[in-house]
Amino acid sequence: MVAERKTGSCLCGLVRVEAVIDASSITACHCGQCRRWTGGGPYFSTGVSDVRIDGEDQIAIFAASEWGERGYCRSCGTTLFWRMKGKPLNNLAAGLFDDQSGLAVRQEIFVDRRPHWQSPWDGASQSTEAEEYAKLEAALKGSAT
Amino acid sequence: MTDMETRDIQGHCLCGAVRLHATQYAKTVSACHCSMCRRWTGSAMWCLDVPTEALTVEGPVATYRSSAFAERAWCRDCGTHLWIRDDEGTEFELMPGLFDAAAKLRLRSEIYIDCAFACISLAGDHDRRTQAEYEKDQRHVEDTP
Repeated sequence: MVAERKTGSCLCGLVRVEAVIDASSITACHCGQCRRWTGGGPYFSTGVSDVRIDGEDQIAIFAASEWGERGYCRSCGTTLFWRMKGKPLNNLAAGLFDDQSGLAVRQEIFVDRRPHWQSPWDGASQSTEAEEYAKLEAALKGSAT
Repeated sequence: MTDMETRDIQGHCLCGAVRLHATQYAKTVSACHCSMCRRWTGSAMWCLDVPTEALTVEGPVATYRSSAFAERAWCRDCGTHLWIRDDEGTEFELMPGLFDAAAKLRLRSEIYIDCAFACISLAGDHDRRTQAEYEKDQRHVEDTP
Protein backbone atom coordinates (compact mmCIF):
# COMPACT_ATOMS: atom_id res chain seq x y z
CA MET A 1 0.00 0.00 0.00
CA VAL A 2 1.89 3.02 -1.24
CA ALA A 3 0.27 6.40 -1.54
CA GLU A 4 1.54 8.36 -4.51
CA ARG A 5 0.72 11.54 -6.35
CA LYS A 6 -0.87 10.99 -9.76
CA THR A 7 -2.23 13.22 -12.49
CA GLY A 8 -5.24 12.60 -14.65
CA SER A 9 -7.88 14.15 -16.86
CA CYS A 10 -11.22 13.67 -18.51
CA LEU A 11 -11.43 12.52 -22.13
CA CYS A 12 -11.51 16.03 -23.65
CA GLY A 13 -8.85 17.32 -21.27
CA LEU A 14 -10.78 20.32 -19.91
CA VAL A 15 -10.91 18.85 -16.40
CA ARG A 16 -7.49 17.98 -14.97
CA VAL A 17 -6.86 16.41 -11.61
CA GLU A 18 -3.88 15.80 -9.39
CA ALA A 19 -4.16 13.88 -6.14
CA VAL A 20 -2.47 11.57 -3.71
CA ILE A 21 -3.96 8.14 -4.27
CA ASP A 22 -3.56 4.74 -2.82
CA ALA A 23 -3.73 2.60 -5.95
CA SER A 24 -4.57 -0.53 -4.03
CA SER A 25 -7.58 1.03 -2.31
CA ILE A 26 -10.13 0.88 -5.11
CA THR A 27 -13.75 0.17 -4.29
CA ALA A 28 -15.80 -1.33 -7.11
CA CYS A 29 -19.43 -0.29 -6.65
CA HIS A 30 -22.20 -2.16 -8.49
CA CYS A 31 -25.13 -0.27 -6.96
CA GLY A 32 -28.04 0.41 -9.28
CA GLN A 33 -27.08 4.07 -9.59
CA CYS A 34 -23.41 3.47 -10.40
CA ARG A 35 -24.32 0.77 -12.89
CA ARG A 36 -26.75 2.99 -14.73
CA TRP A 37 -24.60 6.11 -14.55
CA THR A 38 -21.37 4.57 -15.88
CA GLY A 39 -23.17 2.42 -18.42
CA GLY A 40 -22.67 -0.91 -16.72
CA GLY A 41 -20.34 -0.37 -13.82
CA PRO A 42 -18.79 -0.93 -11.53
CA TYR A 43 -17.80 2.59 -10.57
CA PHE A 44 -14.13 2.23 -9.62
CA SER A 45 -13.78 4.64 -6.72
CA THR A 46 -10.19 5.55 -5.89
CA GLY A 47 -9.53 6.96 -2.44
CA VAL A 48 -7.77 10.34 -2.78
CA SER A 49 -6.45 13.16 -0.64
CA ASP A 50 -4.87 16.54 -1.32
CA VAL A 51 -6.88 16.93 -4.54
CA ARG A 52 -6.21 19.71 -7.01
CA ILE A 53 -8.64 20.27 -9.87
CA ASP A 54 -8.18 22.48 -12.91
CA GLY A 55 -11.26 23.27 -14.96
CA GLU A 56 -13.70 23.14 -12.08
CA ASP A 57 -16.12 25.35 -14.04
CA GLN A 58 -16.43 22.46 -16.52
CA ILE A 59 -17.78 20.10 -13.85
CA ALA A 60 -21.51 19.44 -13.82
CA ILE A 61 -23.01 18.11 -10.60
CA PHE A 62 -26.06 15.86 -10.43
CA ALA A 63 -27.73 15.36 -7.04
CA ALA A 64 -28.47 11.67 -7.36
CA SER A 65 -29.91 11.16 -3.88
CA GLU A 66 -30.56 13.06 -0.67
CA TRP A 67 -27.01 12.39 0.46
CA GLY A 68 -24.90 11.93 -2.65
CA GLU A 69 -23.91 13.83 -5.76
CA ARG A 70 -22.12 12.86 -8.93
CA GLY A 71 -19.69 14.93 -10.95
CA TYR A 72 -19.04 14.69 -14.68
CA CYS A 73 -17.42 16.79 -17.39
CA ARG A 74 -20.03 18.91 -19.12
CA SER A 75 -17.99 19.01 -22.30
CA CYS A 76 -17.29 15.30 -22.86
CA GLY A 77 -19.43 13.48 -20.25
CA THR A 78 -16.52 11.75 -18.51
CA THR A 79 -17.32 10.24 -15.11
CA LEU A 80 -15.38 12.19 -12.45
CA PHE A 81 -16.55 11.38 -8.91
CA TRP A 82 -19.25 10.54 -6.39
CA ARG A 83 -19.29 12.44 -3.11
CA MET A 84 -21.34 12.84 0.02
CA LYS A 85 -23.09 16.20 0.02
CA GLY A 86 -21.27 18.75 2.13
CA LYS A 87 -18.20 16.51 2.60
CA PRO A 88 -14.77 16.98 1.07
CA LEU A 89 -14.06 15.15 -2.16
CA ASN A 90 -12.40 11.87 -1.12
CA ASN A 91 -12.59 9.77 -4.28
CA LEU A 92 -12.08 10.05 -8.01
CA ALA A 93 -12.93 7.70 -10.86
CA ALA A 94 -9.93 5.39 -11.39
CA GLY A 95 -10.19 5.85 -15.16
CA LEU A 96 -9.05 9.47 -14.94
CA PHE A 97 -5.46 8.68 -13.99
CA ASP A 98 -2.81 8.74 -16.72
CA ASP A 99 -0.78 6.04 -15.02
CA GLN A 100 -2.98 3.03 -14.42
CA SER A 101 -0.26 0.84 -12.97
CA GLY A 102 -0.81 -0.87 -9.67
CA LEU A 103 -4.56 -0.36 -9.48
CA ALA A 104 -6.22 -3.06 -7.43
CA VAL A 105 -9.72 -3.55 -6.10
CA ARG A 106 -9.79 -3.94 -2.34
CA GLN A 107 -13.52 -4.19 -1.94
CA GLU A 108 -16.44 -4.95 -4.18
CA ILE A 109 -19.77 -3.64 -2.92
CA PHE A 110 -23.43 -4.19 -3.89
CA VAL A 111 -22.30 -7.54 -5.32
CA ASP A 112 -25.90 -8.78 -5.51
CA ARG A 113 -26.47 -6.08 -8.15
CA ARG A 114 -23.54 -7.17 -10.30
CA PRO A 115 -24.69 -7.82 -13.89
CA HIS A 116 -24.24 -11.32 -15.29
CA TRP A 117 -21.70 -10.20 -17.87
CA GLN A 118 -19.19 -9.52 -15.09
CA SER A 119 -17.48 -11.88 -12.69
CA PRO A 120 -16.42 -11.42 -9.05
CA TRP A 121 -13.11 -9.72 -8.31
CA ASP A 122 -10.60 -12.19 -6.92
CA GLY A 123 -9.02 -11.10 -3.68
CA ALA A 124 -11.51 -8.31 -2.94
CA SER A 125 -13.86 -8.31 0.02
CA GLN A 126 -17.51 -8.53 -0.98
CA SER A 127 -20.63 -7.01 0.52
CA THR A 128 -24.29 -6.90 -0.47
CA GLU A 129 -26.75 -4.06 -0.93
CA ALA A 130 -28.35 -4.72 2.49
CA GLU A 131 -24.94 -4.62 4.20
CA GLU A 132 -23.98 -1.39 2.46
CA TYR A 133 -27.28 0.34 3.27
CA ALA A 134 -26.87 -0.60 6.93
CA LYS A 135 -23.41 1.04 6.89
CA LEU A 136 -24.76 4.11 5.10
CA GLU A 137 -27.58 4.51 7.62
CA ALA A 138 -25.11 4.36 10.46
CA ALA A 139 -22.88 6.94 8.75
CA LEU A 140 -25.80 9.30 8.11
CA LYS A 141 -26.96 8.93 11.70
CA GLY A 142 -23.42 9.62 12.88
CA SER A 143 -23.11 12.79 10.83
CA ALA A 144 -26.49 14.07 12.10
CA THR A 145 -25.41 14.05 15.73
CA MET B 1 -22.93 -10.74 -37.23
CA THR B 2 -23.98 -10.71 -33.62
CA ASP B 3 -27.06 -12.73 -32.69
CA MET B 4 -30.04 -10.44 -32.16
CA GLU B 5 -33.08 -10.67 -29.93
CA THR B 6 -36.24 -9.16 -31.40
CA ARG B 7 -38.08 -7.92 -28.35
CA ASP B 8 -38.95 -4.51 -26.87
CA ILE B 9 -36.77 -3.18 -24.08
CA GLN B 10 -37.01 0.16 -22.31
CA GLY B 11 -34.12 2.00 -20.75
CA HIS B 12 -33.41 5.30 -19.06
CA CYS B 13 -30.62 7.39 -17.58
CA LEU B 14 -30.15 8.01 -13.87
CA CYS B 15 -32.29 11.17 -13.71
CA GLY B 16 -34.91 9.78 -16.10
CA ALA B 17 -34.69 12.66 -18.59
CA VAL B 18 -33.35 10.43 -21.38
CA ARG B 19 -35.55 7.48 -22.30
CA LEU B 20 -34.65 4.79 -24.79
CA HIS B 21 -36.73 2.17 -26.50
CA ALA B 22 -35.26 -0.62 -28.61
CA THR B 23 -37.16 -3.21 -30.59
CA GLN B 24 -34.10 -5.35 -31.27
CA TYR B 25 -30.82 -5.82 -29.43
CA ALA B 26 -27.79 -8.08 -29.26
CA LYS B 27 -28.12 -11.21 -27.15
CA THR B 28 -24.69 -10.59 -25.63
CA VAL B 29 -22.58 -7.70 -24.33
CA SER B 30 -19.06 -6.73 -25.40
CA ALA B 31 -16.37 -4.84 -23.48
CA CYS B 32 -13.70 -2.34 -24.53
CA HIS B 33 -10.77 -1.50 -22.27
CA CYS B 34 -9.00 1.06 -24.49
CA SER B 35 -7.66 4.12 -22.72
CA MET B 36 -10.39 6.38 -24.15
CA CYS B 37 -13.25 4.15 -23.01
CA ARG B 38 -11.60 3.63 -19.64
CA ARG B 39 -11.16 7.36 -19.08
CA TRP B 40 -14.67 8.21 -20.26
CA THR B 41 -16.68 5.70 -18.26
CA GLY B 42 -14.34 5.32 -15.31
CA SER B 43 -14.77 1.59 -15.79
CA ALA B 44 -14.62 -0.83 -18.66
CA MET B 45 -16.95 0.24 -21.44
CA TRP B 46 -19.73 -2.27 -22.01
CA CYS B 47 -21.65 -2.23 -25.27
CA LEU B 48 -25.03 -3.54 -26.27
CA ASP B 49 -25.50 -3.37 -30.04
CA VAL B 50 -28.83 -2.04 -31.28
CA PRO B 51 -29.55 -1.48 -34.99
CA THR B 52 -30.09 2.22 -35.78
CA GLU B 53 -33.62 1.66 -37.07
CA ALA B 54 -34.57 -0.29 -33.93
CA LEU B 55 -33.84 2.56 -31.50
CA THR B 56 -35.92 5.54 -30.34
CA VAL B 57 -34.39 8.12 -27.98
CA GLU B 58 -36.03 11.06 -26.22
CA GLY B 59 -34.45 13.64 -23.96
CA PRO B 60 -31.43 15.92 -23.52
CA VAL B 61 -28.62 14.02 -25.26
CA ALA B 62 -25.18 15.68 -25.34
CA THR B 63 -22.46 14.39 -27.64
CA TYR B 64 -18.70 14.62 -27.93
CA ARG B 65 -16.65 13.70 -30.99
CA SER B 66 -13.93 11.60 -29.46
CA SER B 67 -12.35 10.72 -32.80
CA ALA B 68 -12.64 11.59 -36.47
CA PHE B 69 -15.13 8.78 -36.99
CA ALA B 70 -17.18 8.37 -33.83
CA GLU B 71 -19.16 10.21 -31.19
CA ARG B 72 -19.97 9.49 -27.58
CA ALA B 73 -23.25 10.49 -25.97
CA TRP B 74 -24.42 11.11 -22.40
CA CYS B 75 -27.37 12.68 -20.61
CA ARG B 76 -26.75 16.40 -20.34
CA ASP B 77 -28.65 16.59 -17.03
CA CYS B 78 -27.11 13.73 -15.03
CA GLY B 79 -24.02 12.54 -16.96
CA THR B 80 -25.21 8.99 -17.58
CA HIS B 81 -23.30 7.40 -20.44
CA LEU B 82 -25.58 6.49 -23.35
CA TRP B 83 -23.65 5.24 -26.37
CA ILE B 84 -20.70 5.35 -28.72
CA ARG B 85 -21.51 5.45 -32.39
CA ASP B 86 -19.41 5.07 -35.50
CA ASP B 87 -20.43 7.62 -38.19
CA GLU B 88 -20.59 4.90 -40.80
CA GLY B 89 -22.01 2.23 -38.54
CA THR B 90 -25.44 0.70 -38.86
CA GLU B 91 -25.92 0.39 -35.13
CA PHE B 92 -25.64 2.15 -31.80
CA GLU B 93 -23.35 0.64 -29.22
CA LEU B 94 -25.53 1.41 -26.22
CA MET B 95 -24.54 1.15 -22.59
CA PRO B 96 -26.26 -1.96 -21.23
CA GLY B 97 -26.54 -0.34 -17.79
CA LEU B 98 -29.40 1.76 -19.16
CA PHE B 99 -31.61 -1.30 -19.48
CA ASP B 100 -32.62 -3.29 -16.40
CA ALA B 101 -33.43 -6.24 -18.64
CA ALA B 102 -29.83 -6.33 -19.92
CA ALA B 103 -28.37 -7.26 -16.51
CA LYS B 104 -28.88 -10.94 -17.31
CA LEU B 105 -27.00 -10.91 -20.62
CA ARG B 106 -23.67 -12.69 -20.95
CA LEU B 107 -20.31 -11.38 -22.13
CA ARG B 108 -19.43 -12.07 -25.79
CA SER B 109 -16.02 -10.43 -26.19
CA GLU B 110 -13.36 -8.14 -24.77
CA ILE B 111 -11.01 -5.93 -26.77
CA TYR B 112 -7.86 -4.07 -25.69
CA ILE B 113 -7.40 -6.61 -22.91
CA ASP B 114 -3.76 -5.56 -22.57
CA CYS B 115 -4.93 -1.99 -21.78
CA ALA B 116 -7.45 -2.95 -19.10
CA PHE B 117 -7.30 -1.76 -15.54
CA ALA B 118 -4.78 -3.92 -13.76
CA CYS B 119 -7.62 -4.91 -11.53
CA ILE B 120 -9.97 -6.20 -14.21
CA SER B 121 -10.26 -9.86 -14.88
CA LEU B 122 -13.39 -11.22 -16.47
CA ALA B 123 -13.94 -14.94 -16.16
CA GLY B 124 -15.26 -17.09 -18.99
CA ASP B 125 -14.24 -18.48 -22.35
CA HIS B 126 -15.37 -15.45 -24.41
CA ASP B 127 -13.32 -13.98 -27.26
CA ARG B 128 -10.40 -11.80 -26.09
CA ARG B 129 -8.29 -9.54 -28.25
CA THR B 130 -5.26 -7.37 -27.47
CA GLN B 131 -4.77 -3.88 -28.90
CA ALA B 132 -2.53 -5.24 -31.68
CA GLU B 133 -4.95 -8.03 -32.56
CA TYR B 134 -7.91 -5.65 -32.71
CA GLU B 135 -6.18 -2.84 -34.62
CA LYS B 136 -4.86 -5.25 -37.26
CA ASP B 137 -8.21 -5.22 -39.08
CA GLN B 138 -10.40 -2.57 -37.36
CA ARG B 139 -10.56 1.19 -37.66
CA HIS B 140 -9.05 2.76 -34.56
CA VAL B 141 -7.54 5.88 -33.06
CA GLU B 142 -3.77 5.96 -33.53
CA ASP B 143 -1.36 6.17 -30.62
CA THR B 144 -3.71 5.69 -27.73
CA PRO B 145 -1.62 4.52 -24.81
